Amino acid sequence: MITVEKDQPVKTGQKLSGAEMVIESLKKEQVDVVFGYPGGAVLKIYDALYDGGIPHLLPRHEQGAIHAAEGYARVTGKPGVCIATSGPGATNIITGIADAMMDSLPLVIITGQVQSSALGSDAFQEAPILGVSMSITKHNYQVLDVNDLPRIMKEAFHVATTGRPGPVLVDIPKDVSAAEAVFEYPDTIDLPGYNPAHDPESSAIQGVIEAIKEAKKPVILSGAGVIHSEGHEELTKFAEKTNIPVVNTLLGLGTMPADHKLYLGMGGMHGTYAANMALYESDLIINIGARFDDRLTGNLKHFAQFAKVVHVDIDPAEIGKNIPTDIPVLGDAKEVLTQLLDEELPEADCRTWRRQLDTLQNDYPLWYHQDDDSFKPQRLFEIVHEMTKGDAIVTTDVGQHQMWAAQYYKFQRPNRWVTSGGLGTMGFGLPAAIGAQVGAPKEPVVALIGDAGFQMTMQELAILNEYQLPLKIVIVNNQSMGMVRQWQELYYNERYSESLIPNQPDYVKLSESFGIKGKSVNCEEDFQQVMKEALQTDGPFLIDCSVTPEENVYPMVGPGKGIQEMVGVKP
Amino acid sequence: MRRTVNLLVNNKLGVLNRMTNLFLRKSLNIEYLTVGPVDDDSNVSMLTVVINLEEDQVMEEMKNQLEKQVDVISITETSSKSLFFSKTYEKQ
Repeated sequence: MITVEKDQPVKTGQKLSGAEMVIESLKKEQVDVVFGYPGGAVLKIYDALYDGGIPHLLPRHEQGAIHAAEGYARVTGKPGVCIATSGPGATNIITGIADAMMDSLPLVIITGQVQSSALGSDAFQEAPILGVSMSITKHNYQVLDVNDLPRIMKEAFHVATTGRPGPVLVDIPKDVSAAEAVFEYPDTIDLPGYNPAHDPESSAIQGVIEAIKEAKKPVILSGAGVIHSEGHEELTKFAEKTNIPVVNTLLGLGTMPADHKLYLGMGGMHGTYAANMALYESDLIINIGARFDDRLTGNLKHFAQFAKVVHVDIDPAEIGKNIPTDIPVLGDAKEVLTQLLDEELPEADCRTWRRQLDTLQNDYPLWYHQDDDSFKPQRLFEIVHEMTKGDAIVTTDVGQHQMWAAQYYKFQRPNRWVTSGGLGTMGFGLPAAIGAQVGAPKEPVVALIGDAGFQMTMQELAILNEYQLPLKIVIVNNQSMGMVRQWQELYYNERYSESLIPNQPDYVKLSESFGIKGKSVNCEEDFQQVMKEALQTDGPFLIDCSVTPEENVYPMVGPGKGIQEMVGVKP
Repeated sequence: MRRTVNLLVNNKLGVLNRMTNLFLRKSLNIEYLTVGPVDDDSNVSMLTVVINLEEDQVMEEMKNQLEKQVDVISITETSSKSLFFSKTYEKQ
């Protein structure tokens, strides 16, 4: 066995084990951190890792590792790398893979597998992960010959990071990671069936310009594609030049500064009334990098019924999938916006429309009732925004607290918002915050998490001190699965079936047991004070904050309703 | 309406599964299927799938999803009347 010494380059023609090839490939791809959990089938890989070269984080559950890799990818734009062993290790990362697939996050996942001779024999810790993960990965591989390993690693990174990003899984049987071969990392990719780059057609660009000239009620919908393509500055310029207001999707938050005069807020189920009415009444929707997801559109029957639809997307399969498209523009969001900006862009003739939307914004702001007896969760989010000056990296789980964060945290720039959008994964927030902090070690990271979701992955508190991750955790504690409770209140005759969690752990003692400072608060004054203390603390800090348990998220588009049929738009 | 989808795919482990998974995801039952290499030492296979589907929009979505696959090199769709085996199928 040839041992690769730390930072010693591999010589041309040198033989390496499959495991060493994995590590060398990661170095070639300039991977600066790996999130993983060892086990029988990846012992070889971990042995190769022991020689150094790439820092490794050990979350305490594989689900923690994969969500951390997602958080890292979301904040850095670089691929997150995750290693898990065969069988339970591999099945434990399934949720994170599906989550990354839904939210287009570039991940390269390496799973161990039983000996190739034992495949299909129900061997110890065997799970057919290739088949299991096939439908929730952008692509996946099982390596059956060590000679293929460098090529497959190269392809995995290429596929994960190009076009519409996504997770790619590489499954490596134990004997393949032990076998030796000459390591030659390819310079080129040969995938004739994979053509992720699309040049926008000039006729499509012209079509957009003509549509803007004709429009009286145009609106831009910007989604995560703008963030992935790093096209946020071009987006703002495009909106300013054409004078067209902008609505963000949940994952598009941060593509435009929230205090911009053309910004209408988030659209969709818990979006602002002005944003939804803009989408509803519009005669031209310019969708840039969003996929018309059902939480945004509401009932499709009502969506865009008066509008000409422009859809800019890197993924041809998204265009026309949910909403018929009049002007499809296939291409990278930044590229398309740059081409548009290179043209003589007309200013849209929409003074009346802008006035109408301004009135809606003024008449229907987000609202909640202040309460002397309990701490309103919405106020909590406002305070977090104020105290971090709107510039922290914010992570959440899914549910009420996620919607309040989206409503009340006014993002000024992209890559600060780490949330589980498409899959809606409870347990995402804490491990994702860990990955985000690893990716941005000097930035303030605040994990805003509900009490129910926190209990799904709270074991990851264990690694905050170990890796000196100074993140601030706020448990928005309403002693329930808030959104489930809200739906049961509104649509299930207040029959709170299994959604209330009155028996809560002592989160302060829990965090102290991990050596993390923790405090419990239940009013605005105390929260202000403790949050200030948390932000001034060098290390990690946990705040268990009791909020009004029966508070609901409004405004709201009810199930089956169109986006114009919002309830709770006024106090 | 019976529709025939012809796919040129990489002749690799798991590719058939990858393709049929996509039909399953759209709840489309495969009525007829053939697969084989285009010639003896080819790395490329022709996969022919016959499904019964009315909506053009669903067919379009299905093709888009298939086309996205790394292992799919090309895809064509024809109506049932143009291929002899789909006629054969209709006789039954």
